Amino acid sequence: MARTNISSGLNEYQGNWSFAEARHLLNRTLFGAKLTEINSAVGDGLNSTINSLFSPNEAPNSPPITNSYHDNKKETAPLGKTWINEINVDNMHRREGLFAWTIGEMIEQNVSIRERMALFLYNHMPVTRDIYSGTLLYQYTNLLRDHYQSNLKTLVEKVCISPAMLRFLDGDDNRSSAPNENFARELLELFTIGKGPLRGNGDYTNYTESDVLSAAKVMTGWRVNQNTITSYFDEKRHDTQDKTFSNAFNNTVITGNGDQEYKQLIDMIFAQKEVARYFCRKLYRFFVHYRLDNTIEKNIIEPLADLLYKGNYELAPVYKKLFKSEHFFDIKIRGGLIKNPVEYTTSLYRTGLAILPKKTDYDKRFDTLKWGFTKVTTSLNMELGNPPSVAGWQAYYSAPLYHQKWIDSVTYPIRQSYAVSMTKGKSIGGKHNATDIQINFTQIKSQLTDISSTKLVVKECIALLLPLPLPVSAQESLEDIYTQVKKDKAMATIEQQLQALFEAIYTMPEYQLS
Amino acid sequence: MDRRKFINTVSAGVISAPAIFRSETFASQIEPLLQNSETDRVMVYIDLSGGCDGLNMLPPLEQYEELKKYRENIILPENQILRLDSETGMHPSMPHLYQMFQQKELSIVHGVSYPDPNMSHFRSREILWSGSNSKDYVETGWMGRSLNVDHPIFPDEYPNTEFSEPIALSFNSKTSLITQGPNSNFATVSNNPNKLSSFKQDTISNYKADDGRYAEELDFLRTSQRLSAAYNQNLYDSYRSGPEIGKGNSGLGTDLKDVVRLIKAGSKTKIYVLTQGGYDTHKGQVISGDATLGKHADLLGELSEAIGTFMQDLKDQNIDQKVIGLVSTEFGRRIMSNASLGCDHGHASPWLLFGTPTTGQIFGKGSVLPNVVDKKTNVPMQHDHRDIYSSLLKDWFQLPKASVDSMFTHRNQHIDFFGIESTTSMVQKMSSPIFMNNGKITLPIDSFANGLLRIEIMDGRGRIVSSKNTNIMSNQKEVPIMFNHSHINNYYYRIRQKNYVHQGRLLFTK
Repeated sequence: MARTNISSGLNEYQGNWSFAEARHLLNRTLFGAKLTEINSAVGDGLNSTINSLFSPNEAPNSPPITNSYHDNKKETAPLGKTWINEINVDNMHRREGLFAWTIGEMIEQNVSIRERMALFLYNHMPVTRDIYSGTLLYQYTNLLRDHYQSNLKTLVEKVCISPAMLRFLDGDDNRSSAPNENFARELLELFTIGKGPLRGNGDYTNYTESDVLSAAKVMTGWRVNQNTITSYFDEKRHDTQDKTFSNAFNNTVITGNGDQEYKQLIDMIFAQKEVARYFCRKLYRFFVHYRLDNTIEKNIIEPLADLLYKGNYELAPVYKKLFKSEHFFDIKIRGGLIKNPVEYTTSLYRTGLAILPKKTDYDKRFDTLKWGFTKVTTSLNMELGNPPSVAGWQAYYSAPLYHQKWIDSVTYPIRQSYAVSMTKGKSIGGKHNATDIQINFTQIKSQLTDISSTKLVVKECIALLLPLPLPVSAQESLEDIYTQVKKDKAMATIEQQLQALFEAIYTMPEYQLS
Repeated sequence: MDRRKFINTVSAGVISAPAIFRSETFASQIEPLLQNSETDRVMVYIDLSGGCDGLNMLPPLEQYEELKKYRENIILPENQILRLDSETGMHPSMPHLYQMFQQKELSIVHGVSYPDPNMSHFRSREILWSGSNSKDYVETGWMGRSLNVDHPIFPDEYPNTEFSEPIALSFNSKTSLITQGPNSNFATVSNNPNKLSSFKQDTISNYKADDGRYAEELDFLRTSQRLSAAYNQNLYDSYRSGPEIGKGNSGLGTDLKDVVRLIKAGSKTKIYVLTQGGYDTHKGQVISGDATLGKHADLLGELSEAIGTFMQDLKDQNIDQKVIGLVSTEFGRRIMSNASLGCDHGHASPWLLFGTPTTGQIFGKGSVLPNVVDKKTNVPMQHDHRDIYSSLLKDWFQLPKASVDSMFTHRNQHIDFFGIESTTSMVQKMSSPIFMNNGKITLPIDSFANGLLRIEIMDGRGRIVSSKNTNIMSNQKEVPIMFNHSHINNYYYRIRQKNYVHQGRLLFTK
């Protein structure tokens, strides 16, 4: 299908602010907006809603805990208490518990962009569960949570010497006698400036192979203390010779500065505007759409990168510029994002007002989150904490399909049947202590404006569940489904009618879109 | 546009008949019918994911002592290595593939890579799957481009009565770049064709949406829903109508069992994409103390058993003549091993081509080590990966040379997997017609030696419709061979033994 040219830019959106626009903003920034949240946002207006989304929101105060699956011989944290400070222990259950906990945060957080940003930044600079430490993984994702709206340069500096990253990309093995390029290569190729066209042997326009080696040498000496799992600088392993960079970095020489050299390295890289462009493209791909044509490059990426670069890599102004822009609310952009599996599953629960077991029901909650989510997103090709490579999930970089990669003849039926079963409440029961979780139709019914009007009920449910309005004919088909329940069975409840309606909407391809 | 229309709009002259039919002496006997070259041929592609250590799979026999210097901690004991020829050895955990090599059902291509190899798993796969070089970012796969020649309007009007099953089927859990065509990906993903996932077809979403990203993605989703529902059902039906083949001894083995069943059931799928993962053996490739055991030996054993069983199943079902298998990996591994009993990412590695149709040869030198080796030295390239693709597309899938050449920027060199060229350099004997009767053919002369004989039966277009490798006695007069024939006057035979090739018409006795 021919691709539409979309020429809207970053001017502040001045158009209509109604349920549809509020829903669009919240669904792109949360994991499924609730009806009440959307209605509040309509009343609050765009600016105030953006401020709520970006209100300072520190790391969650209720960290992951030990549940009774933990092997008690190995686990030092007692049942129901957090294990994050018991650093010398690791087991599979901690890591499983961490990702189940993450899902819980996504579903139960208030109106805040925090968890969605944490997932974006994690995909941008992932550390996978292969580092075998729940504590380090928890620390690392919280580093992303702490800095998502502060400063990109500061964040990357911290990532460089974070114990999780030092372990994940072999920084710990990187020493002057045997430089290991693993981290330096990904720092340039994936985390900051990106690869440009190959111009000559080992010259990727934005950097060269020799820059990779020089950057690796700058990073020599940074290690992880295996007892405290904190990072430290070992001067003896640091390469003290001149580290000379190519003319991509104005032939910069970094030398004689020991444990401060990595900051010079980051300064040098971030002095290149290409870093800002590269980041803004990733931001756009994650939150808006994967397609970056020349018009989008010119009208969105370039001015956004300009703002990021001139603002010395402060992030909040850039996010706000994008989320308040004409382009973001352009009807030609809206509804065009295929939900990723994490968003798809969590938004069903969140929008459907389903209730998770309490945090104090350790095992019930863990099993429900595991069998209801983390196992499901894995079967949908998005295993939390385990993207296929350091480049992140393929949907965010693999041309030409990008987000369409989420959908194939195996995953699509799973997505559909998962949603449909959620309307009936028989999705995960029987899996150990997992409880069935059902879309809460009684609660939804109570929030609808007028349940005596079929037309209104169907219209409101479409507006809640689908990104754009349906034509009248499709709306009438859904009304027929809704009323048919009552025709088939006179005693049928509104809840049963809503179940049929939700099932039909979940079956529509439109439901895959945000 | 279907295949026939394509052929008619392009000049028929670009379609090359196999070399044998271009030879002067033979041309008078055979008039190739240059028309629809759609074949019922199938290729199974097995990706050894992670980068298979070719030096351990097929060790260089003549360089054993040298190799031992670089990887003493992981090298196989010399007396345990199976011998394919004077240069090429084989891991002892691969008896099935060894047997297939003896039966001339396994060809080996040494040193497959591309110039300026990339040692990233992700990028190297992208290069191999797109069939490009290491500088270009190509968004279509080499199989996708080749399938597009026959199916240029896919996915519109698919599935249809002629192609009711997916054009390509991936057992890979993901759609791979390899089957990505210019419009859409040709592969349907299947975990288990015997299990029909319930998938409701929506009927409400049938309006035209306004232009924009929403309409674009909705279009993709509607197509995806339509194809998934139809293909899942057709695959299931096809699978259920096929014979019981049983269950494999591994994931790969089970996938290959499913492939046999689908082919036997008449599925029109041309390409099956399969994966065997776990080859990224930086450490623990062998167990300490016995280099014949460990992770790599287990993987190779599993691969060998799965392919060996697959071959037997194909023969039992009498469909072996229409199936070939290509085994590749994103790169080989470093010559020097690690202290942790593994080795790092490398460059070139051997690829395998198996099946009755191949002539069972070794292409390239088995002594793959360069003269000087240090920690960073890698096995050098002998064959560009695109040479394999273009040779298979021309010789196996019979795609027009011009189409194939346009798919690759690389000026390719032909690899003669099916003995098409080699017959021209062999001593050709024009022999009298031979006869087929009751499933047996009479041998044309009575001077064949004891030993292996290769028989190929071709139709008027030079397509091999059946082939067989068989051991004969010198006094043998007849050989049983099976094939389905429709036009009884239009078949030819080619029989090879050592340096001789005999060819002529095949006649049927009533």
